[in-house]
Amino acid sequence: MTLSIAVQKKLGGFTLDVALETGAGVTALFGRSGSGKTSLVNLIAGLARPDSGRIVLDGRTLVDTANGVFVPAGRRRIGYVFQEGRLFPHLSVRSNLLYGRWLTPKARRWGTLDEVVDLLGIGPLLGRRPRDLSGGEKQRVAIGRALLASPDCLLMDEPLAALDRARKAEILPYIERLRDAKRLPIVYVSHSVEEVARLADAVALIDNGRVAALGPVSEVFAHLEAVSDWEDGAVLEAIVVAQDRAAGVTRLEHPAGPLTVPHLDIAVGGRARVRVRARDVVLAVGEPGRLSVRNRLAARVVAMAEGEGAEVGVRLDAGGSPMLARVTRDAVRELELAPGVAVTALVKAVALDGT
Amino acid sequence: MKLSARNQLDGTIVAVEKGQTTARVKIDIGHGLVITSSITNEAVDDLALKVGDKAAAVIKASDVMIGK
Repeated sequence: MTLSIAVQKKLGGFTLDVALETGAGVTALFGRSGSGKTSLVNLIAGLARPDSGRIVLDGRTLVDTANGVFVPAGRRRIGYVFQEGRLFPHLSVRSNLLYGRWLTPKARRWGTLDEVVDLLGIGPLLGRRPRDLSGGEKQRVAIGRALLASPDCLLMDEPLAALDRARKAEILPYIERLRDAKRLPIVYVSHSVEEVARLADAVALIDNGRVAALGPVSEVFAHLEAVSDWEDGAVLEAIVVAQDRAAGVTRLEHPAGPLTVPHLDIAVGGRARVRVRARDVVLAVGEPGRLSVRNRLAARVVAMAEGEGAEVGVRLDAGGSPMLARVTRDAVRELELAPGVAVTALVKAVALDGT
Repeated sequence: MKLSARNQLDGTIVAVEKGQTTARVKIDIGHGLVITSSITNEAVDDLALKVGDKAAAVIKASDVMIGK
């Protein structure tokens, strides 16, 4: 299934002008508030009309302004999960879940109530009313309701933004399961680096109504200029090679060297994504010596970007993976850092988190 | 050894407290000042850190907060 979008729409201060093609899996729309992410999602959902352009989902033309095509929201077969669950307060969880299903012709339905309930772990909640659910439970029910309408595509607009850290941690594994179990394009709006790093297969960086960068998470997040307004860093993809229960750490293998991170619940042989914040990276030239720092990655300086103040962003190639370090201008001078220089990127194990 | 980290404070280890995964290591850098570090237990074993050892606390400039 593919979703292909090419739309233009004049908004308040700028013009949304986006061309994007997504397949199965999670495509994150990432960008600051007001960059046009939600406007784009509303165009896909059919809650707004573009000034010009086309939207095609799995071969069905939903919008084609040149030919006067505009399929209304209710007939697009697109599920939409909002920031707050928007459940019907007077209906039980079960009735909320089945609400969208009645609107879907039998022949087109996929998945059963049992299957969705199981996927999202909401069996014990079926008899309850929305007011008796926690924020995380509400969001899981909202996702279940969207799924039971058998959509061809799922839109999730900051679905975790209203939840605290613990609730986010509770719901993320369910979204991961959903991503892995269904061959469904999921468009996921977020301005959380952590969420995007964990969930997305591809990320489109939206800036001022345009796609500023598009590609795998590991590449887009290493775009120094692109993400410098957020807490920047890079995502390293690595293979779990050992679980050291005694030490409470997980060992990973990455082309740039072995990695040690606080325990990850991933089986040996599985893939992990480790987020390395640019501010947590220390660079060494020559043998770093005896340091407590667990992670030493062989890298080469690719480019340097002077920011404001004393900091310099150093873009690295670590065994083929882009990585970033933020160091002082002072350090650049002393270590004679320049494109091409071989360095060791040092990162404390306790500063890393992975998924 | 050349490190980009701007602050490298030499001192003497005055405490090593191991936790489940991480350990707290305290380094006396003189003038009555003690720096606390959180590192893995593994790093403690690797460097064979113990009370009385000479060691340096290495801190990135961006990690230093200032109070007045």
